Amino acid sequence: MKKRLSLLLIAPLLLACSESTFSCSALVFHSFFSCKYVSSRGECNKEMIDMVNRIDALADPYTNYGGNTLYYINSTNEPVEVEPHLFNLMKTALDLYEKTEHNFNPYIGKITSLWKNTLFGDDEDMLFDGPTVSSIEEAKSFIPALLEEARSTRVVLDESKSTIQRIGSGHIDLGGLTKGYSVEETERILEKYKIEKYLINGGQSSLGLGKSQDGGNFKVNLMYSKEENENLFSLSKIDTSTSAIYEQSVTVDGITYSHIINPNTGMPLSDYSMAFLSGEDSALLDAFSTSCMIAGPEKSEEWSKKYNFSYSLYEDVGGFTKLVKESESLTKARI
Amino acid sequence: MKKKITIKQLTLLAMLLSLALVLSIAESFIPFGIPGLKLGLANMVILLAIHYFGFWIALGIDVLRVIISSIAVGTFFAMGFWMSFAGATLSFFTMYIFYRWFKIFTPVGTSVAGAYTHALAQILVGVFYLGSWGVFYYFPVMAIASLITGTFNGFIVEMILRNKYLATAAGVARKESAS
Amino acid sequence: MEKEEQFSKTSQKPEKKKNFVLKHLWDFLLLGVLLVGTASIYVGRTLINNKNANQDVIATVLYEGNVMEIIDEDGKKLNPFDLGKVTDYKEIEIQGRHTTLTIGLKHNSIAVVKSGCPGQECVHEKWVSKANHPIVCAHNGIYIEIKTDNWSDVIIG
Repeated sequence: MKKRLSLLLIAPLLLACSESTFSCSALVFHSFFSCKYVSSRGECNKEMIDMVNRIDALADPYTNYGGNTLYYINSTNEPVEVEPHLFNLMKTALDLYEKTEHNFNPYIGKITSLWKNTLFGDDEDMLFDGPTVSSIEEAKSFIPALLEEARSTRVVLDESKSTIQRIGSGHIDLGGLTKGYSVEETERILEKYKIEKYLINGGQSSLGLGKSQDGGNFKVNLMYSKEENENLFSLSKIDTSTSAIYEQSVTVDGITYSHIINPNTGMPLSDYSMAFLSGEDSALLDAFSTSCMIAGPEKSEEWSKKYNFSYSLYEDVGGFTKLVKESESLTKARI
Repeated sequence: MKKKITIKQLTLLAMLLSLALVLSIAESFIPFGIPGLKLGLANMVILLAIHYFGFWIALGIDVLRVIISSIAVGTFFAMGFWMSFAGATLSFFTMYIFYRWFKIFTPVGTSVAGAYTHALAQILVGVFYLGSWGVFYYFPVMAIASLITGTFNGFIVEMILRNKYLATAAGVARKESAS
Repeated sequence: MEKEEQFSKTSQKPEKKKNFVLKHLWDFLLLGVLLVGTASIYVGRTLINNKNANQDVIATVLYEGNVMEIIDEDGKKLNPFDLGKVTDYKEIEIQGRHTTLTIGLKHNSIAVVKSGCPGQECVHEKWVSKANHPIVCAHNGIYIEIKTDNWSDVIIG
C-alpha cells in the first residue's frame, strides 16, 4: 500500500517533468544570436545554429568565407548562382527597399564601411584613437561620389536560375536585415517542431517572442531610458526590432555620430535616437526600425498603418531616450 | 511541603546528564552537509528523564547538555549551538506533549516525533542564519536519518522502562520525590 | 507436560509478535507517514531539479543572509553571477567571516575551490550546476544559492 501511495504522489511529478529548457547560441552577424525554448527534446539546436552560421557566412560583406557569398557578389558584375537563404535574403531586401521608400538601402555598403572605419576603427587596428574633426571631414568629402555610385547600383534577380547579379560598382550590405531574417527562419524551425515557448535574441536588436516559460508574457525592458523601468512592455507571440544610436556612437565636437547611416544623406546622423517596433515579420521590422528612426514620426505612423506593425519612437535628451510618438497597441502593452 | 532531592535522585540525574553529554559530543563528529546538523542521539536520555523526573528537571537536563556540549566542542553561541538549542527544545516540547497527552504512542512514537522536530528545528535555524530557504536542501536526508535514529532511541527507552531492575531504581527515585 | 510447555512456548511466539505490532501500531503509522512524506518530497525535488538540468543558472553569494557585494577592477557588479554567460574559467577571492575563500566559475557551474575553514565541507561539494543545490561555508557565513535563469525578463536597446 505504501508503494502504491508513493507512486500516486510521484506520477503527476513525472508527467510534469517531460519538458525541459534548451538553449543555443552563436557569435554571428558581428554580434550574437541565442535561442531559449521549452521542449521535450533539444532537437532544434543543431538546425538553428547551422542555419544562422550559414546566413552569417553568406551575407557578411566584410569577410571572405569562400564560395558564392555576398562578398563574392560585391566583387563581380556577373550573375552568381546562390543558395536559397541568400536569394531569399536579397529578394526580401529589394522588396523592403521599395516599401521603406529607400530608407532601408542595401546599396550603401561602401558608405557604411567608410563610416565604420572612420568612427570606430578597423577591426584589426588596435591603435585606433577615435575620430577627429579632420578625419570626419575627410570621410564627408567622399560621400557625394559614393552616394552617386550607390544610386547607380542595382541588383537583378533570376528566380528560375537562383542567381543574383549586381549592376554597378556600389557594395551591397544586408546587415540591417540579417538579424531579423534569422529570427524569422528560427521561428519557422520552432513552428515545425510545434514549440510554443521560446525566446529568440538576434543580437539584442531583433527579438522573436513566443510564450514565456510559464506560458505567459515576457517583460521587455528598453535600455537607455532615464528611469529604470520607464519603458517596460508586456509582450508575447510577437516579433520586435530595435534600432538605437546608443549601442555604438561617438561624439566629436558636440555632434553625435552613430553606426546608423541615413541613406538619403550618406551621414551617420539622425534626429531621433531609438525606434522600437513590434509586429509579425521580423525581417520587415528590422528594415523598418532603422527607417522609422531616420524618417520620423509622421512617416512611422503612415508605414505602421500600411504594413501592420506598431512603433515607439524616441529622441535623445541628455543621453537618454524621450518618447516622441507611439502606436496605441504598444501604449496598451506598457507595464 | 518542600521537595527534597535525595542522593539517589541526584545520582541518577547526574548520570543522565553525563550520558546525554557523551552522546551529544559523540554525535557532533558525524558530519551532515552543514556543520551543526546533529542526529539527536541524546534524545533517548531526555525521554527517559521525562519519564523519571517530569517536565522541569528533564528540561533542565536538556538545556544543560546543550550548553556544556557546545562549550566542550567549541561552537558555543555559533550557528551550531543555536541549531542544537532549537532542536533540543523543540523536540523536548514535542516529546513531552506526546508523553503527556498522546498516550496511544509508546516511547517509540514519542521518540520518532521528537527526532523529526529536532531535524526540522535545526534546518529552520540554518535558514535563518544563512538567509535562504535553500537550506531545506539538506532536510530530507537529515529527516530520514533522524527518523531511523529516533526509532532506535525509542526502542532502547522502551526496553529500559520495561526492565524491572532499572524501573525499581527509577521508582525509588519517583517515590522519594513525591514524599 | 514438557511437551505441553514447549507447545505453549512456540504458540506464544506468533502471539508475541502480534502483540508487539499492535502495541506499536500508532508508532509505526507515525513513522510511516513521516518517512513517506519526506521521501516523496525528496524524490519530487530531485525529479524537478533533473528536469532543469541543462538550464542556465544564476549563482548568488550570500554573506550572513545578505547579497554580498563583489565587484571587479572596473567596478562592475559581479554578484549575482550569470553562469550561463561565463565562457572561460575564472576565479574570484572573497572574504568570509573568518577566512578568505576562492570561488571558481565555469559555464553554468560554480565551486568553492579553496577555503580556510576547518571543516572544508564547502570545498567537498565541488562543482555545482543544479538549481536549488546550495554550497555552504557556515564557518565563514557564506551561502551560495543557485537558481534557474528566468528568461521572461528581456532587456534590449
